[in-house]
Amino acid sequence: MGEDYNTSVTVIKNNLIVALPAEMTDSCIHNIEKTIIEKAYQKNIQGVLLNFSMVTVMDTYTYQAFENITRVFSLMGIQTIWVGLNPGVVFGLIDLDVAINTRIKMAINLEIGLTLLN
Amino acid sequence: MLKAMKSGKTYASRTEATLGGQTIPLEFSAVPLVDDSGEIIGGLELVLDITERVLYENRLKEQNHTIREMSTPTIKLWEGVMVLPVVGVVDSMRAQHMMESMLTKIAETYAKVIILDIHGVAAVDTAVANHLIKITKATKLMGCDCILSGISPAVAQTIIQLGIDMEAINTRATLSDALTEAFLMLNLEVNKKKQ
Repeated sequence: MGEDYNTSVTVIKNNLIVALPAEMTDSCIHNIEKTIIEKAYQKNIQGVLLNFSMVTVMDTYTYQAFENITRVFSLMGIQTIWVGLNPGVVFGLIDLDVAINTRIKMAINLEIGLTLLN
Repeated sequence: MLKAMKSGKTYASRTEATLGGQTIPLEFSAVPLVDDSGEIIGGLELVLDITERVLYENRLKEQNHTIREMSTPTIKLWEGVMVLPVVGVVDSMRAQHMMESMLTKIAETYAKVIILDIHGVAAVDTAVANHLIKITKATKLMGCDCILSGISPAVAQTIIQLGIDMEAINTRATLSDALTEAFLMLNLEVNKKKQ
């Protein structure tokens, strides 16, 4: 098991900032999920920012996987905000007719995402 | 060309010819002539000067482009507030253009609220409503709230009669109501100047 996913995870003031890579395989998402949930638990995290600004491809499975991660965090009492989805990715998701959970908080950039957390 | 149609098929194509220093677009079609026994005994070729038609086609293309550009203007109304007025008929092509224009503008300006004013849309049916719902979902994914404004009583009645569920969308009757709502979302307040 190598570190085959280039994801950066940063902790700033009890907030976890996760920069996601351009393309993610199923196992990659699984790895990311495991890592960030474990980290959030250990470091007493209050809010998570998932940064999608580098993501270029997103399918139904990826969307659902991240929706599930958001649900897991909400069970742990942690607020999750999706940040920086590209217009192209959004277009694709709408074209795929993905059932979008309107309760998830989204922000256009990290700055706005951070103010939403506080 | 006549040799090519010896196979018994009809050919039609476009080409350009240079005559006296002028290039003229031409359309030609070639048809084989067949006798009763099915044998090819000759051919017919028709060459047409289509300069005018090509001119019209190009003009039409240009006009279509202009109309499309004009039909989806996204205007900045306030810091973080954008307006997209929709006039005319909303079909799936147009809805897609609207969505494209909105999403790129949101990404550029970091708008937090976008107001979709459908005051100028004559009729709202199930398809149009579905397009609008899709657009609001897309803007939501970009972290931008969408307010649908300009819903006339007739349109509101139609939506209810058709049984379309628009509960998920923030709707207002007029553009000014929508702006007030947008200010509320952005924690802004409009005060009268003290004399």
